[in-house]
Amino acid sequence: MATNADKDVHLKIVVNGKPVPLKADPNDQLGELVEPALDKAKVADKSNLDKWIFTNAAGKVLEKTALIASFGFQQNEELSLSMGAGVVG
Amino acid sequence: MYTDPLVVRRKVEREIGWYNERIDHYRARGIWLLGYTFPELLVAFVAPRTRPHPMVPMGIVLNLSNYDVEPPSVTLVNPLTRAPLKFGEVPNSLVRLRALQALGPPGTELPQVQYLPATPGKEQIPGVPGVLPERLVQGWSEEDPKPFICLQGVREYHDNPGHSGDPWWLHRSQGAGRFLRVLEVIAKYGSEAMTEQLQVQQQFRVQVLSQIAVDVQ
Repeated sequence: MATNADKDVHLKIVVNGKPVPLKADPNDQLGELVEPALDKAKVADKSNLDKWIFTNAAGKVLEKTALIASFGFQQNEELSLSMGAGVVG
Repeated sequence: MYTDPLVVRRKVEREIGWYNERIDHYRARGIWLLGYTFPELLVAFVAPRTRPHPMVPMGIVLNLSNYDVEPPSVTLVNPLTRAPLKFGEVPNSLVRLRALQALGPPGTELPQVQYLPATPGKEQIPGVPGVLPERLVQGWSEEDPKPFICLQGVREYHDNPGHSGDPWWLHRSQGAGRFLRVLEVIAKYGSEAMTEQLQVQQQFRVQVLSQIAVDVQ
């Protein structure tokens, strides 16, 4: 039986200010979205994926090793993906 | 300007479009685009968390000539008059915390950092092991007429002779110089970090004392 965790989540990822839509599998880790989001935003240099940081609308840094399902994102929820400038992004 | 102004203008206005698309987000964060006359943007930073009222501590003029063959140039200004701020007039020196890595085999202790390195006229800030507090706004003295933001993706950083080993072209393809990213960093470490009523009171008190001193003279 299909559960909520099996349903793809449609997110809006804002990469350095540029919003891009992205479909995510809730069973993946959040960090797995970094590369496809950079691809969609046409960021050419993906040599250091570790330094990219996800934050939610409230500015909270999101743990990239956590499963996407664990965040309980709403459909079309907006996340920011930015190059870290410090330990709080 | 040595690049085609039409191309630069198109890039700038595309990014302004992204700003407008999320204008509620930027308004709530206090990143207010006040004016655009190509190739310059005037942006005010509102501190949304100060109590009892939000305040407008600073603004910047972004010069986007040759964008993004060159990164944005950032001048800290009074947002009401556009007058450039001297280093001593900058209300917040954008303190960020940078995680340090232990140099050595696994188990090596992290460097102990006790205080932010001294900067003329700025208070010391306690550090914690493994984390280095740094001021993004740099200046030679309180009277330095052109303090700059020491951040990859800002023209003044890459033009500084001290950063000749870290050229803009190493960062351009990561979007480091997208001006929206630069605005968000300034807000995060500047206006959004200003939360305490005490800070406002202290600044007000300093201003009042300065006025009294002038009156006495």
